[in-house]
Amino acid sequence: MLEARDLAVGYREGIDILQGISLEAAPGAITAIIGPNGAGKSTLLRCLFGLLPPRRGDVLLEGRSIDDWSTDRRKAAGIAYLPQHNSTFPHLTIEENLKLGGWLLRDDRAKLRERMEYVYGLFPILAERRRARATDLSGGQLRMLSVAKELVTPPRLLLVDEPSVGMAPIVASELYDLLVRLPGWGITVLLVDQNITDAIRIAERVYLIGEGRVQRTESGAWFQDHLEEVIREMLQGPVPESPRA
Amino acid sequence: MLDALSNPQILAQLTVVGLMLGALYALMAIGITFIASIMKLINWSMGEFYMIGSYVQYYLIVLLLGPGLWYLALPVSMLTVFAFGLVVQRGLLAPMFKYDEARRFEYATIVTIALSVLLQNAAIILAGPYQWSPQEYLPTRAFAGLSLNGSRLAGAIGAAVILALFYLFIRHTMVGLSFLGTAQNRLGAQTAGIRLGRVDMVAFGIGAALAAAAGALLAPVFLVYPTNGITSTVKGFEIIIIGGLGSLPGAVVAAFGLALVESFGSFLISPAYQDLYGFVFLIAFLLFRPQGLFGERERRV
Repeated sequence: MLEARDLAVGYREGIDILQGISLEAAPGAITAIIGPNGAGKSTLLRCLFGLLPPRRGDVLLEGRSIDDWSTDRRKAAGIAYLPQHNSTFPHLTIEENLKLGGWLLRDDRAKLRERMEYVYGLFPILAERRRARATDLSGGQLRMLSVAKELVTPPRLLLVDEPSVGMAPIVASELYDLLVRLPGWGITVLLVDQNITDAIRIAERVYLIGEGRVQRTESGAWFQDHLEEVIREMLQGPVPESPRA
Repeated sequence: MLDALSNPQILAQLTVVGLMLGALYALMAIGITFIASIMKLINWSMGEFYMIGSYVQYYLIVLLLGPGLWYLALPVSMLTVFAFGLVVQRGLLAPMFKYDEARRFEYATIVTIALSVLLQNAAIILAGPYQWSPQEYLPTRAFAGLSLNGSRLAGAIGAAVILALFYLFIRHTMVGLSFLGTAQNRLGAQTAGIRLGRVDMVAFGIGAALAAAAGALLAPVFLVYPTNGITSTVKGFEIIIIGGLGSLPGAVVAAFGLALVESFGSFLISPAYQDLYGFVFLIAFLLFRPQGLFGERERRV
């Protein structure tokens, strides 16, 4: 569905964090990208959502290059992005947060209302507290609101950045349960995660990236069987073990 | 002097004078804080938008509309400065933020201060170094024993109407909501599909237009000349520091507070130091509540 082809991305001239990444989010599935801190996982998602232009390579949506698309055009095409840090509006109510989540539907009030009610149906606790301001929610509810907000404009693909960072374990596990349900609602998921254990558990396909490149592409099940080996590789680099003095 | 305050007539007069001026100060302060909260920068050329607003108002009244139609000149003056604000934002500020978001505050400071000097000098060349004043907007009225300066009264009513419209726009329209959202979380606005470029541009225009409204409404009171924006800028900044940068309710409350302090200070001490009382008020405020009335101590941890 969404494909990165030979993507090179960086913040400063001459220093590319990603140096030619090719990968694909398969439709209707959860795809995970794992890798060590600083491998450029979050940078990749920023680039896919259009917040950062690639230096080289292409982003393709269903085979068509969308490199020159702005973020709002990508959003309208069904690409949604859940950043690592809170993307809600703290001093607005839940209702207002969701309304803005449906910004692109603003000219069709009936449709906007319908989508908001659909999302309230998915998250009944948000419906109960619709007049509460985001800043008054618990950490878990706030994370739920972040997801809900990105679902109001109908997404086909959700880019998820580090869902469990800074979350209490119970909240994180709720969130993974939620991600697993997304393909059932017709939403493809591309997940970037440092929490390898949960990522490979829920993903069908997993890309391991490091040093700006894809190091390994395997199924989630394969990674579960070879976790120890993968972690050793991540820490030491993919060199054969050799005795040292 | 203090015992004069036990006279309800004097007390009422000072309060009403303060409240009338407060509404006008609020316009200026809301303009500054609105731009600051959305674009995360301070527009130091705000006083020059005030100045241009006062000139457009003056020339429209003198050359075209006549003194009776000052209220028609007001929206034209605001629209002119709104359009000029769009051009300034798109032409001078937006290009610099394209590549280096991190330094937007520094860039904006340099550019808007330079723009302020440029516009003041342009005004001297185009309109001359003279002071002008349109005729009083309304005759002085006596109301319940109070004497109300007509221009100040008209200005206060105009300011109240504009502030009410601004409030309705921000709180009760989808576009207004998108401004509030952008002010609270720019990334969150982007993930919702809101175009930050457009929000920034229009917000800058609206802020500039509010300053222009203050300039146009105060033209008969504080006069029309190339550097008339300086005092209003200083007062605007006093207000947003007292109210808390980025807080719209704070700006309104602090605007009335400052105007009341000035009004009572002028009566109790001396009108000669009118501009000083605000500073004393500000310093006192900074000592006890450095984050302002409604400000947050620190946004980021």
